Amino acid sequence: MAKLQFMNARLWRFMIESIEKVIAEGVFVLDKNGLKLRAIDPSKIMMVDLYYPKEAFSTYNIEEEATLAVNFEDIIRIFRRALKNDTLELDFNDSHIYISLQGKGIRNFKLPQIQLPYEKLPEPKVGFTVHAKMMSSIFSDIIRDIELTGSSVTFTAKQDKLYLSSLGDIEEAEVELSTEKQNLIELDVESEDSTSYSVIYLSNMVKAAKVAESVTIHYSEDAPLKADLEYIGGGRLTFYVSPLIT
Amino acid sequence: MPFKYLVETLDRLEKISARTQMTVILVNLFKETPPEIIDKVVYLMQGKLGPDWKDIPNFGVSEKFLVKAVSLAYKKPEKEIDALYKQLGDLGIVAETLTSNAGGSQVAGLMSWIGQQEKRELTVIEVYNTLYRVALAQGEGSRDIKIRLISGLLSEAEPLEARYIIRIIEGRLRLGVGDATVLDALAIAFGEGVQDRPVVERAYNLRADLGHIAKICASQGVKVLSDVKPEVGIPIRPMLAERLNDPVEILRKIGGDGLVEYKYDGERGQIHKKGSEVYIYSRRLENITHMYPDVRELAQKFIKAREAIVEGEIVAIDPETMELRPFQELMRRKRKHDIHIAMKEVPVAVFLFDLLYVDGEDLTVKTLPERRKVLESIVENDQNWTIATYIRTSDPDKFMNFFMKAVSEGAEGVMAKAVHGNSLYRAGARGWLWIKFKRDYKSEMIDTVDLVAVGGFYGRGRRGGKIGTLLMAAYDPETDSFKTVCKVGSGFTDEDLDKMYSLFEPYIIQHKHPRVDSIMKPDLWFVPAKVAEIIGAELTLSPLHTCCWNKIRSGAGISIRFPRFIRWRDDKAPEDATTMTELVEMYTRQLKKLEEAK
Repeated sequence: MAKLQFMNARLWRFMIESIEKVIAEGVFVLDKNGLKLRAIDPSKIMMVDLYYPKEAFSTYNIEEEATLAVNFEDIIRIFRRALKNDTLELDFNDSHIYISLQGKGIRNFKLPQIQLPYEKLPEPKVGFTVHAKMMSSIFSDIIRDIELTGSSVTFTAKQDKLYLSSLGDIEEAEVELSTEKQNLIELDVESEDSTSYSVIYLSNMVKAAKVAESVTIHYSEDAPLKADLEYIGGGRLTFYVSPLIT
Repeated sequence: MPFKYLVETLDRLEKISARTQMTVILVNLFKETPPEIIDKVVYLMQGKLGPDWKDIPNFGVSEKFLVKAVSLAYKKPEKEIDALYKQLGDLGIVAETLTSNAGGSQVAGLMSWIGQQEKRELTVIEVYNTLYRVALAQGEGSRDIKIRLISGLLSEAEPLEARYIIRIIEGRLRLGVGDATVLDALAIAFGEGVQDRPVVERAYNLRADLGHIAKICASQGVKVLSDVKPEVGIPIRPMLAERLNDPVEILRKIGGDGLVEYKYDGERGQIHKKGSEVYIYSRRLENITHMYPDVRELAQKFIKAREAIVEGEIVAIDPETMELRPFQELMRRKRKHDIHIAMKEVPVAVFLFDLLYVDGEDLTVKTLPERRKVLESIVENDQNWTIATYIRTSDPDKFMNFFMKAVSEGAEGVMAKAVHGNSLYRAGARGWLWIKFKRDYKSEMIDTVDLVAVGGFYGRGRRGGKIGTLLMAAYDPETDSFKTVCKVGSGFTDEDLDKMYSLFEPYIIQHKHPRVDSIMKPDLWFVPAKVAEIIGAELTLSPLHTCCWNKIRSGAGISIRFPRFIRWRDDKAPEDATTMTELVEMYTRQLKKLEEAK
């Protein structure tokens, strides 16, 4: 039986809320380095890539390598019960998963592991020309603003500024970001590229971004966008989104 | 099997209308199809994911979201898709055009960045499974999942594949490939030819799942089908009746002598029982089990067999008087969201009339008398679970009397059934072994009548120990007597019922009042005194009531179907009640109106 313990259950709740929007089911791989999950959504437009090093867990008992196949719809229902200051404890064997939320009370849940083969997916090979690091709260706010107007968002980089714009039927929205205005932590523009992405995919990241320490966006002309969400203890949740070609 | 192969066949089918040509194309398709997936090919061809009774949810994708999926798949703004849709008028063609413009199927989304440059070929199984997931995605966030699944599928599809994926989801795959054509093709592809068609058809009638039958044909051959028996959990296509309007002719057609039973005005249910599991299928083979938890319970309790398939009519009843209620009452169940509330508001009874299968034995090959004998031996009767009322007769007059009794008690008419050596259960067929006899008129009772209470019946259930039903009579001035018209148990409030006994106590007598003329024997006789206003669905003929006896028809009086109490008419004396002459007039007027309507 493998056993994991993590001090902040709510962090997992929000990460999984985002992952659940992308894929219905998935296989976590746990090895001597840490926990990994890489999967692509059914429309093949978005990929999620999670890595959490074993050092971030207060308990990490895994013999060799283990896989954990879950239906995210099922487990999110349990994770939504995670309260502030709850500790997450997760045990599993080949057939079942035991989730325990421990805080003011101890709540134990048991659910079956699903049958799902583990498919190894390579990482997308993309050269990025624009890199922008920001506070996670800024990222969530921008997406919420853009969602109001259109179904796609265009990222346009200038020497020291990054513009996000969206064109609706009648409304337009534009957000200007720069290190100068202190809404970006870092901006690195190798080429002043402009690319559009579908908003519904970017919206999927908002929940996970809420509990991240920072969000870094990478993209280049007509190439996928990569968003790195960094978490406490060295955890990283990366999303890739395929571009819209107009 | 590549999905491409299937859609090319669909495309060919779309262009022809001659059934013989269709059959040839299907035969070739079936021969090429691996047996393990032929069921899925058959379902997809008919634009389905399984037989209708399997309750697979609809795709649940509106046109708007389909546009969204197309937009995502081809990386085009929704506005552009909308414009194309308006121009081409068919979203399937839009998807097809966009795919060809993109130069055939593309490498979907991120796949080209993870080193997958080769385009993949979609397989039938993949498409079927993805569509299945689209249908099954339910609840919060499912809309998004559906869109992504469809867009993922489209982005890997070739032009023609894209067209048919959209058509299937839209439910617009109208190729005209009927069940009959599929059955023909199966007989030719896996049997000796058309002469094997009856075997295939019989198997399908006993197990109404084309995919399932196709799979048996493809993997084991047509010969195996001749041993196919009904299976609990797969509905049997029901045997249907012809209709005639003359009892003499009906009796002649069924062989002179037959079973005549009430044709109840409810929902025909095929009730399958296996251990503690029960499934109920409608006449159109929909799974209606969830609508009748009470019937499920009755079946579990009162079918004394491990496995059985019985047929009966589920009818709305008044639980206190056990009177039949009209079909419209039963339909109130369908409109209710909470079935447990509906169950209380619309209680039902089941009247069984056939047994098709019991503990491994196929009874469809037995005669009706044999089936009824076994049915009666494995069914325990209960108040709400009983064998349909019937007589066995060869006499047209008895037939007619029984019919009138059936109608006045709330049935739709009667069903006459052959009992001779050839009276097998012909699943899926309409024939002269069963003949229905219904009223050839239908009318409405517009005016109320004022009738006199001449007797009372004790109620059941909530009305236990109370007078729950009254025997009502009209006045005949010629003989100065009261002749019965109907029993009324509906329309009383709880207060009315509570007061009923004290209301009639002064009028209770030990025997029938000399001025009362009645065939029925109530629990209590009254002195004719209290007058009530009554409305009903219509006036009918009945052999059970004496009012207007022989006036319209010999051996029958006039009665009221589905009578309801409106109020007491204390202002009226019994002699002021509606008279026989008035009732005869009302009856003929209602018939006249009907003729005018014709």
